[in-house]
Amino acid sequence: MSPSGRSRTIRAVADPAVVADAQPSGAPPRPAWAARTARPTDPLVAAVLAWAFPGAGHAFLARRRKALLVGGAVAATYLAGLAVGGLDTVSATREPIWFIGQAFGGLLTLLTVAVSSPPHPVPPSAGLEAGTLYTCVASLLNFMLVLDAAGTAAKDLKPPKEESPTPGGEPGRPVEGRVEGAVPIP
Amino acid sequence: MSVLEGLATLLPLSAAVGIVLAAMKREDPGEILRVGAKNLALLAGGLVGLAAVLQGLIWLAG
Repeated sequence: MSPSGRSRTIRAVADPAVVADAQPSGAPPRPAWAARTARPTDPLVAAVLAWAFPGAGHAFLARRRKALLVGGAVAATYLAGLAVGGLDTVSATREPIWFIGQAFGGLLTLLTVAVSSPPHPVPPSAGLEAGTLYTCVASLLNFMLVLDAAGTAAKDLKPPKEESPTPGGEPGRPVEGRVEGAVPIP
Repeated sequence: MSVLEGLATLLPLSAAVGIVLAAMKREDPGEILRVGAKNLALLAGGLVGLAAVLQGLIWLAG
């Protein structure tokens, strides 16, 4: 390989724009940082998954330990509410105001409504029940996880700040081979 | 619902609230647990203090 050809190869590896252009024809151009991380980064998919089940959005974004921690906390609170108050605590006819908050619980709320739908109308409860409070707070916490998952995915889409467009690619990494314009050290 | 029952109802919720609040904009699970425990202690302390004040007001009112 000629010296000039080798210098072109080094420049292609170092420059993210050149790497993006070097994708096979037909494939959408992919930024260099996305190729390095190889994590799914669609904010909409992350938000929908996070709404569907607590922690699923973070698991989709390859943050599995965080997903287990926060998803487990929210799901345990929701299930504790169901255990305390029964399946009737999640009902649009019995607790219409609280059901607005419970709707953020995703599949947990949908499954509970599907399982508990009574054949006769349930009279409204006289006061606030602990099960209603637990399920509503857990669902609203799940909405916070939806926002966090979407924000995390959007942050993953952005290039890292320490990205160096200069030859050499990663900061602090010595450049191997010949670089165009470099003056040889005697 | 008495003050003690309200306290017993709200204290378990503080754990989930503390952990989820700690998980916002944090990645490391160890740090989330550490900050979550601190949030839980703050929330529980606030709830116990509020319950004590409420119980004192009830006691004063006779």
